[in-house]
Amino acid sequence: MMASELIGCQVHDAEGQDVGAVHDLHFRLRLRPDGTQACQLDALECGGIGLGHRLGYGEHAMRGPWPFPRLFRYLARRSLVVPWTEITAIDGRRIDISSRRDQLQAPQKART
Amino acid sequence: MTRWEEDEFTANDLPLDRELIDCNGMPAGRVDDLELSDPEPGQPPVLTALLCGPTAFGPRLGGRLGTWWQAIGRRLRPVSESYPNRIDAGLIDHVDRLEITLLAAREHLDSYRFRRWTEEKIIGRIPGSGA
Repeated sequence: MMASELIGCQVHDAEGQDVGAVHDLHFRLRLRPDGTQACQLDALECGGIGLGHRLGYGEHAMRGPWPFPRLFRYLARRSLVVPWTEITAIDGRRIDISSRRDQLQAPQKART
Repeated sequence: MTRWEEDEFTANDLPLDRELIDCNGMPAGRVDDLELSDPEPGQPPVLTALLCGPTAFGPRLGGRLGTWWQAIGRRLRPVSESYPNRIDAGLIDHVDRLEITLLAAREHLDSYRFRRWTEEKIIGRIPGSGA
């Protein structure tokens, strides 16, 4: 599986409601029992606006030009995080999840 | 063991689009896509390799432009396989927001194959090139 096969997929919640397109992947480092390191895919970030993230505006890394930072950060606030454990099916460019859209949370980490 | 700048990160934050630097400090390409393991039931996928080159970047672009980009990449490849150039996760030394340092020399990486072919077949035949 490639990251590009997940990015851009349309996510649908348990009621079939559209959650948005995947625009980023959340990873977490963990140690396996044998002591080796694994970079584990933890969650998918979807909704909001992907272009702003690709340009660095969702991460508070870009400061100009006005009014793009405010606009893209506003749109990025609408992003939702879908934990990998919530995914029930991946069928082509469609991902189904077991929770409802209103149960999903916004990205918590404030990136600097 | 790979040293990552953060324990938790997103693909756009750290690995994607970062420049690859080999063990001698020379540029070795750019990360265009990530290879993940096929998830087993109840287990999330893990990062297995970094993918480079037009055949990796094409699918990320998407649409007709992405298909064209991928097709051009396939035609330029000196080998017949269409799978992107792969750098195993075990070869990654350090990852930060600017670049990814590798444990191997670029001459031994698939991502350097096209550059080496160009040096040998084209640049090297130009008188005075010194290649």
